[in-house]
Amino acid sequence: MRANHRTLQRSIAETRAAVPVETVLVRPADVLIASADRALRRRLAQSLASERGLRRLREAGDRAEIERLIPELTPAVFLLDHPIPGYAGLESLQTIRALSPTTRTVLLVARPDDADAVAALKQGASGYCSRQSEPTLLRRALQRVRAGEIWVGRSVTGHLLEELAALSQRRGPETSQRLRRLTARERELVAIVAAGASNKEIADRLSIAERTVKAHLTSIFAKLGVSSRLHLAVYALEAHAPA
Amino acid sequence: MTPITVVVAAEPRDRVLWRRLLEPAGGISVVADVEAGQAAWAVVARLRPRVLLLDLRRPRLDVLAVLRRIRLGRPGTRVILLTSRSTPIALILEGLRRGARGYLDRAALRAFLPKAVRAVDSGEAWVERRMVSRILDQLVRLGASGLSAGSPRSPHMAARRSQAP
Repeated sequence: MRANHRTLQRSIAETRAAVPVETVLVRPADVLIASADRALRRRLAQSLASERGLRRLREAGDRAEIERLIPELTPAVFLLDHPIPGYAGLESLQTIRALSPTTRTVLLVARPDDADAVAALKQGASGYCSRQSEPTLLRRALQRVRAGEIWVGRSVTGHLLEELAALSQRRGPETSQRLRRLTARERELVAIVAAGASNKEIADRLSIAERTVKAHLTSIFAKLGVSSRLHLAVYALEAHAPA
Repeated sequence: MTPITVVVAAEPRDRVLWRRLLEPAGGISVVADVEAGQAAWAVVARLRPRVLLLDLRRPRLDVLAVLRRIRLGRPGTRVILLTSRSTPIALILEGLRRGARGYLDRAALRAFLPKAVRAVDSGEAWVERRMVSRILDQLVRLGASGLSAGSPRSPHMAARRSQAP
């Protein structure tokens, strides 16, 4: 008994040394697979069975089963063959998030579409894959998602970037409004920071103490909601750029 | 198929190197090279290349200003930023917000430059995987602040924001 115990402890220690701490944490399940298609579920389960960090898996076939198992298992990853009967559109994603906020959901779809993928990501999905994906690719996707990344194709990311640029452009005017909250002295300081000057250089240039420069910067950071000199420089640029 | 026209905007030594990496690749034609600052804008406006390779390493603010002008004046030109390991993530994100479609680390140029040019030209993004979640967070944050207070992703965002450099 005692020897057994020691062996067990040693093997636990070895496991700890061999794998990242996160995967050692005791979790009720790694993956929950949901699909109305039983054969697909079996295939997916088999393809994940030998995968470290993904092999403790359970299956669900309908909405009721999903909503019973998600809170009970709080799986790290939820692989959802989408759509599943009982949910309208992406409603499933909101429900999952409410039931287990730490669970990261990957959608499996028959016909991938970039716009659909973007919509799913915005509703909280962490991955979007074709049902036709090679098992190796799918395993990789689940591993990456489990590690905290987002898994989508490059063209989906292209759409995300396009939207980001469009939104950022529209938000531009707000920046100059915020800059107007600064005092004349503070604006002067921003211009000098933007040119790349250090606190010492600013102090010399404005004939003030370095401590005063720091106090000014703290106030400016707070007013503009920025956290670094780089951001501040970007702000200054924004104010002078053609809108 | 007509070749992808590319303008390279960087320091002289790099321009030569990048040309050498792109020209044998086939289907890609470097139509001009220029310094990375404001001069790049004039060349893009005149030549309307499909892709611009823009060195983000310096002078940074000039480069950001050029990005804004391209976004407004020549949205058809897709931009790839050239970065190095020391380029701050906040700066790269700012570049993406200003319309860049991707970025490539200097160390990865040899292996990926032609591939990245083709991908970006076809509408895809060329960014590291770990960047995608940051892009999404930014997007959701911007979208949410324009619409309503609550956003589905806000808990994740809060956690990540605290780790941001």
